Amino acid sequence: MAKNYTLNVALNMSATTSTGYSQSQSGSFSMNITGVDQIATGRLDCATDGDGTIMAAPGYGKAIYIRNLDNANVLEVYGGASSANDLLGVLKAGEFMFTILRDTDTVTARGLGGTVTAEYFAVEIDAAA
Amino acid sequence: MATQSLSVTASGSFSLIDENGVTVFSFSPSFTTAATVTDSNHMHTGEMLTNGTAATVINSLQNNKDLVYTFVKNVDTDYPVAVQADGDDIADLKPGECFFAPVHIDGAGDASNDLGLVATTAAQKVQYLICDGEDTGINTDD
Repeated sequence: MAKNYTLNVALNMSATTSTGYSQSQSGSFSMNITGVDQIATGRLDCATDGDGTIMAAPGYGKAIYIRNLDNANVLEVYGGASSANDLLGVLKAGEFMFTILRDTDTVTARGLGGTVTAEYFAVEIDAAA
Repeated sequence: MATQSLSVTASGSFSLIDENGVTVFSFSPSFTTAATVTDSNHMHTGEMLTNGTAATVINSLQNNKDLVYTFVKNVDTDYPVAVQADGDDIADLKPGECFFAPVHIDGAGDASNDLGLVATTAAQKVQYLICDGEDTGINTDD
């Protein structure tokens, strides 16, 4: 398969109070990735009693996006197994996260209160990315 | 009694293009939280220089440790900065890179923790926006 890729990212967050006070932050960048061996994307049902694997251990690091597609339950996202208690994010219904981690941990997810369908991508990155 | 009511909107655009110009995937998620007074206390933004390579924190004393919507961007030009929650890396950002996540920064025993920043090579600047969300029901980091 192709080995070289460009990941384009744009993120925006704004926060507002009832008094009308508002603050926002945004960013965008492109990441050139070479020697990619692992790209995972799709949808995964994540149960409450076990870890759903979003990404197997990469060789160097990864860029990951995960969105909770459920309409009620929370999705817990972990670096490594959930037993390690390394929470990367806690997603309520409809919420998403994006992060970059330069480590070789797996990424797993687990529903809280019921099985949750996760939408995701996970792209292995190299040291130069 | 006065209360604080907070709402967060987040959006993103992601695409992966291969060396032949083929789009492998594209996602454009967004969401807005309902304005709520529950667990809402503090939102703050700023630009910060890490304390050399020593551990540095974004003070979260007044935030709801069980859920903070967090955006951090490395706005420096030289080296990566790791972002930590309860001592664990949740992002590792090279210059120009950013991340967003609803984060649980509370450690076991509901200790009062801050978001950590670690510049492994030299002092670096980051920009951030942090806003309280309503508890998810998780009391520790599991």
